[in-house]
Amino acid sequence: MVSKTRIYAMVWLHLVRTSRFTLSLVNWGVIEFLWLSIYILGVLAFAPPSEYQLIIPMVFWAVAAFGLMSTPVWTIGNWMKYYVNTGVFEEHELYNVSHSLFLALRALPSIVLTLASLTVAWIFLRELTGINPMRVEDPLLLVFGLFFILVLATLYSLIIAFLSLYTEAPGPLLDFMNLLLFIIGGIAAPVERLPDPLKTIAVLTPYSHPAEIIRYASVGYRPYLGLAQEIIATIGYTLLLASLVIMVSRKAVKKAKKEGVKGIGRT
Amino acid sequence: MGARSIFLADTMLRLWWLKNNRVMAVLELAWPYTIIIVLVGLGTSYGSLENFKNSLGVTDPILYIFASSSVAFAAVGIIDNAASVAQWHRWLGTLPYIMTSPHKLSTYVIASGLSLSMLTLAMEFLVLLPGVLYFSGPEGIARMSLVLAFLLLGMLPLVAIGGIAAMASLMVREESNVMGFLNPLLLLLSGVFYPLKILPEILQLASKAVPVSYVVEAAKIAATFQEGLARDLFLVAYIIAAMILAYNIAGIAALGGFETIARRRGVTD
Repeated sequence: MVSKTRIYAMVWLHLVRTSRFTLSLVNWGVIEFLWLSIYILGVLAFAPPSEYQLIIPMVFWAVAAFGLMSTPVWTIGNWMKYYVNTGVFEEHELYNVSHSLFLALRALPSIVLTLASLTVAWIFLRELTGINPMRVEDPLLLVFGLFFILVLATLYSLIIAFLSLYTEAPGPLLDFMNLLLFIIGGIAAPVERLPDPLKTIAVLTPYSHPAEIIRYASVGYRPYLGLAQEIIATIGYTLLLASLVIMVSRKAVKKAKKEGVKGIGRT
Repeated sequence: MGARSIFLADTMLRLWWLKNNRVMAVLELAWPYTIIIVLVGLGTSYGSLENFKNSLGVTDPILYIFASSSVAFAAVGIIDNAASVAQWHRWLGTLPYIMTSPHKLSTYVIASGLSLSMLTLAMEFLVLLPGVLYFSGPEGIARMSLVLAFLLLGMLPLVAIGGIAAMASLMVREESNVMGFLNPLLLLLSGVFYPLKILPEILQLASKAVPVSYVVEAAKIAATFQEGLARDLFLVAYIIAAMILAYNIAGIAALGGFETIARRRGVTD
């Protein structure tokens, strides 16, 4: 069992580090906002203007979910590179500190970052299009969906981090699944709108379920499997990914202990 | 050791890294297609390629998407690559050795950043060729080659800015490139995936001062089968050439000052 003191120490260290690198954090927030805007404006180039009223909130929340999915890949998955290069890996191993927990708690700066970027993107898009992109019909359900997207993303990023340790390839390069899942996994567009074979893929992948809940909570779009089933699937996938993290981390750490910790490639 | 040697050494290092790490090599090659799938997949979920074609005013939307994806990830990469080289050495603890070597630190970061950017661009181009050939035929390859030439040209005005970003990040002792926001900002202003008229007037005006806007313009011209293509492309090339001079004259002057301040403050801790 991990002691409370250790968790406090880790959280405190991550927060101190975040405040120490304020400019980097602000810079990252601006980057996130700009990328969100570029993608949303890109999608609008495909869409007929008559449907903007419905499409803009749907795309906004889809891109928001993607922001929550992708930021931990950088803050956790890509961070394994620094974790190894600065010698912190060995230090934690020596003091029997959980690598997974230490890395997972880096999700905290991710939340602050993504929420700040989303707020700015919301204002920017509202001013630009005259349409409120942050339409919400059920705030509680929306928070539930966003929370589980973040939890799933943290677990996924931990898998990426340990795969990065195992393969010596940088985390963001291993992350192409995230982008593919964004399209074929029912995050970018409702599962119902996908072609038949993709519907099955989407239902079998973890992110589609909280994404369906988010769409229902924001614009009232009916979830593909039904609300209760989507909630159960979301929780089920969270447990599944958590087990995968344990498996992959054990394998990667075992390899590192056996062969020595090796440097991870530059992106 | 001059800029050329650093450039070659860094290129070899990168190539050997990819040779020794096949997973990383395969993933790097898969990335450009992933980006295209995302944009087209996301866009067509809510609209159609026909709408995209009309709003961008291009004849071959697929060729444009291939070209603009390269623009999105290569043209502005020089800024981030130059800055990340400096940060990388600071993390590794090898920055003091580079600082004490005979050449300037700015020469090192620019040469190394250019090597990384050009290699990435070359790899992206080679990887995208089969896709371009499939969708747009041999003529598409010729047009894509034109875009590549403009991408290389469009990278040059940003060289000195890359050096400044590296020095600024070292000076403020931050963990990443503090001017990293410039990459997406330049892309946002260039209208890479959407028509510029969608942006507020002030941003449309600002886009005229951004070199990447002209690379995007070249990609649009290349993806539009119109008469007078050569004339339009030459005009864009002249504008970029003028920007290479203006940006780098101002940038190199500022870079000298930044490097002096950085060395005086100490940047290795």
